[in-house]
This record gives sequence, structure tokens and C-alpha cells, in this order.
Amino acid sequence: MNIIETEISHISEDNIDSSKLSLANNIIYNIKPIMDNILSKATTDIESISKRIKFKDNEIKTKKIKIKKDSEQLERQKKVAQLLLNVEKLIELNVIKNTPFKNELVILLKIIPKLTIEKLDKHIKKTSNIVQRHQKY
Amino acid sequence: MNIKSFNPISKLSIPSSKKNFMTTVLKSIYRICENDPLFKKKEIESKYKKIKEWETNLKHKELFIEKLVELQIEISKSLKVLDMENTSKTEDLLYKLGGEEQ
Repeated sequence: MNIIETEISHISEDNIDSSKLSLANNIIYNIKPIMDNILSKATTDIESISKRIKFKDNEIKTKKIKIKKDSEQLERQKKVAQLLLNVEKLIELNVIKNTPFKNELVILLKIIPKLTIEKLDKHIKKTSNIVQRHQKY
Repeated sequence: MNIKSFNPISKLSIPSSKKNFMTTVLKSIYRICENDPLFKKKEIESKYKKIKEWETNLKHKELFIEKLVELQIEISKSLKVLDMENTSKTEDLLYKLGGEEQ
């Protein structure tokens, strides 16, 4: 076949083997660097995206820890609110006036920020029982 | 990137007849390269597949982080409000109990 549109030299039957070899070498010489560049870029892209994923993973981890901490604090504050509500009811029911329990409540209110969740639960239970007992009458 | 769509010839300033011919040659070359390990085509395609998957993964993580930030803001706001309410109520109750003087 004569390739008239281009300046590529014609291949005759007598030089077909050497032409094939030359074409193969040309392909390797010209195409391989392109493929190598694509591969190298892909490798760089993978490294970059891997770093970004690791960074995001760390960000997620940090945010989860902060949310967990804040949720625990929120849960604690909800318990404090419940305890304060019970104390308020006790005052409204007038059951602690001039009793030693009044001083106990004053101390309790002052140490509320230092109380553990378990202690808060214990005091909520105790005050709830007293409120329920007096609300019956 | 799809290797088959990689066509540097399209960018050349040469007559379209030559361009078409060269593109046909290039496509033939790609076909030759398809199974030749020398050109690492499979490796390249596998890497681009991985990049696509990881980019999707990254987008999901970014969306998740956005949701976490929203949640964090919401919890912080509630915490701040409840903390202020509790502090004020404690002071109020202490006053009612006459504990401020103790």
C-alpha cells in the first residue's frame, strides 16, 4: 500500500522484516515515554489522594472524640438540670424548711460541678423519691 | 483518564487528513500495546480505577466531616445554653435556700 497522504516511507516486500523492526522500535521509543508519564502521574495522584484520605481520617477521628466528649458533658448537664428541678420541687413543696436536709441541699448545690455521673444519678434518685413521697399528700 | 481517549495528535496543527491517518495509526498502536506488558497498560488502568474509587471515598469522607461539624456545633450550642441555665438556676436555688450566706 502506498501512503500518499503522508511522508512515511513505503514498505516494500524485500525490507518488510527490517521495517517491522524499525516500526516496533519507533513505537517503543515514542509511545513508551508517554505511557511511562501517564503511569508516573497516576502513581503521584494515588500518593496525593492517599495522603488526603489519611488527613481526612485523622480529622474524622479528632471530631468524633470532641463530639463524644461534648455529648458526655451534655448528658451530665441534663442530669444536673434534672437534679436542680428536683431541688426546686422540694423547695416549692416546703418540705425542707428548718430541717438538716436543707443544709445538705445547700452543700449539694455548691458541689454539683464536681459530682460524678454516678453521684448525680444517686442524688436524682434520692430527691425524686422524696418529691414523689410528698406530692402524694 | 481513559488511555484510549488520550490523543495528543488532535492537538497538532497539521492537515486533518494527516491527523485522521495518524489517529488511526495511534489507535492501532494502542491496540498493539493493549496486551504488551512493556507499556504497563493494565497497571495504568488499575491505578486510574483506584484513583476513581479513592476520590469517591474522599468525597464521602468530606461529606461526613461536614455532618460531624454540624453535629458538633449543635451539641456545643445546647451544652452552652444548658450550662448557663444550670448555673443561673443553682444560684437562684442557693438564694432561695439562704445558702449564699453560709
